[in-house]
Amino acid sequence: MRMQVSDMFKLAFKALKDRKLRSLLTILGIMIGSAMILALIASSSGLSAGVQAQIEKMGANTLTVSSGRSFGPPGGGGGQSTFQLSQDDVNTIKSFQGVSDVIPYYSRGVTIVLGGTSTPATLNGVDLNVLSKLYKGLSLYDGALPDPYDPSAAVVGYGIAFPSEANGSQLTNVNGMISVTLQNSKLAFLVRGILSEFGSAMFSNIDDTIFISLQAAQILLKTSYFTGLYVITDTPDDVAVVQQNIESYYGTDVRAMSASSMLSSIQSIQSQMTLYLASIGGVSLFVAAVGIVNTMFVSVMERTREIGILKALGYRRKEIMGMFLSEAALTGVIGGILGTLFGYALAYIMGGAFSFSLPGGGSRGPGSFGGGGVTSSPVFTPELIVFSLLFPIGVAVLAGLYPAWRAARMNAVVALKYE
Amino acid sequence: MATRSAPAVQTIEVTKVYRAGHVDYPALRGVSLKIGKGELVSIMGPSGSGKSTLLNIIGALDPPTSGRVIIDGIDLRKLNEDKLALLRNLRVGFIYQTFNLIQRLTAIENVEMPLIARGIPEKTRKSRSLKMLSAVGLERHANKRPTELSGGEQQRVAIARALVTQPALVLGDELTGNVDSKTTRELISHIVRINKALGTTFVLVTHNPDVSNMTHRVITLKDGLIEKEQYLQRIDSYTGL
Repeated sequence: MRMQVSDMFKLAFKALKDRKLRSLLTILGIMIGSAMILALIASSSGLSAGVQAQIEKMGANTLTVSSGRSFGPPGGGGGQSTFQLSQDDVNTIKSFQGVSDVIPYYSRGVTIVLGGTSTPATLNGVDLNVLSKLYKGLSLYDGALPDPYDPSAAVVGYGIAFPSEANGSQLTNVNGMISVTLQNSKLAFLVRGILSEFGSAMFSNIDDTIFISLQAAQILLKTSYFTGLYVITDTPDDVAVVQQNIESYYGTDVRAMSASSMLSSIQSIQSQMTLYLASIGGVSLFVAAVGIVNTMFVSVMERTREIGILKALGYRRKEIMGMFLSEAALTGVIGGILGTLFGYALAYIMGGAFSFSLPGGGSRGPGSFGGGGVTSSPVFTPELIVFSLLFPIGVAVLAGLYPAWRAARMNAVVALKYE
Repeated sequence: MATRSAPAVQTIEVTKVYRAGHVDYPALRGVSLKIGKGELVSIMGPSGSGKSTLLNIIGALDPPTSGRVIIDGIDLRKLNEDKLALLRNLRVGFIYQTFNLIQRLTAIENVEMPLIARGIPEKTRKSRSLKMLSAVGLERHANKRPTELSGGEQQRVAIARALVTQPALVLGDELTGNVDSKTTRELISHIVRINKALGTTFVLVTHNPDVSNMTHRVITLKDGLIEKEQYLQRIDSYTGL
């Protein structure tokens, strides 16, 4: 003889249904708590994954060096240092131990004028032969690499040839012309090649970039000072040492960033942010748990006589405790399911807000934050979903434990006399 | 273990002392009695004489301060909380003055409650409960809640609940206290009929002579002691009601 668990839950469901409003409010508390936790963790780790994917598209043995201190202020480009990188610096860094190559680049924000509409893009001057070395997996979709001494030849990113606004139709062809505006002066390029679809790397959207040769950029921009340098090391293990050497040689005149150092600093910010946000969710779930304790105590009080009846009918302590715990668990189950659904939606809403929290603006060159834009969609791992479903149940049962225990320990005779 | 020859209920020098603060209130001061199987016994006495206390002790709901209680040959002293609960479920049925039905459950769901504790499958317990409700003439009200029933109907639901487990012993605490005299007569007739048909032992605490007059024996308590015991003749005319 033993009460069946299914009967326990059926009775619990009836009891919750009998106090609809109170049950709904308790469930609402649980739902908000669990939705918060799920949404915050999912969108925060989604952003992490987005940042990580961008950084990892740069080779693990690549450093970017630019003049200036830390991240430049919005619109400030490479910081406020007056130091500028020249061919001498290329040679100096090339001589450092562990450095296999130094690739200088120019980068400017431009506006493309195409069919009457203008869209922002990046103009990059770099040795075109090393593009595929810099960006893993980047290849030519159409055409060929132009002659480095032709100042009017360009290779364009996929997004320029096939703008998303044009719904997949090609607006720029090989041997077609593309005109851009650079600081009020108009430039025209002959498109020699179109790159394959690539996405963003180091916060710069390769698909929205016009690549010209280093020599062409030097002529057009009328400067021999580079925007920055890519430093390729012999092995990924050399990156840290080379970074240190550059920093100790130049002091604060330049900043050197590696994929891994950037990743780790961003990840540490990220993990703190996740912890902080998840703890907000945790607090709301804790408040919900206190709500359950409160509701359950009221319920146990109100049903004192019922508990006495159950005892007289031969229900054992653990069965009475089980009945009340089932009510708490059911609250947690419903709250958890609703919270997971709500949190799922909430994470997407939050994802948008998160993207804007990264420093924006600045020049659109590789190695500088901003323009490339980190698009993050929330990450829902199976573990996270399971956690989001089970955690509220655990919290609810834990909260129900003491009131249920009190109910089970009640004196039958006293309970039966309760008015 | 239960034996065939053992009385349904035996109490030996049972005392019960309630304590409020530092003051002791003796409710029972040494009650010894034997109630045979199939007997229909009423317990009378003024308020505070210990009637309800005795009933709760016999029903294994409340432990005595001293003395022994033996139900169907089982000494309650030897049973822990869970075993006592089991004994109540298997052998004892309670009927209260205030009906003590669970308000949010329907009549049939209330009757099912002791069977749920026993783990009986839903289909079986529904049919048993419905049969019990028809035995007290309430099959048409099976799906009504207590608030939709009259006092007499509610008490009949309570009787059905007490009897659905086919207990050997049914304890009634002023079960006609909240109903009119016509309903009282109906309830009494149900009880007498069940007592005769099934041999169920009844112990009824009552103030009502109409109830005590149809029992086999009237035990009168006063100040926690048995004042007198009176054997009555069977009054078969009640069964005809």
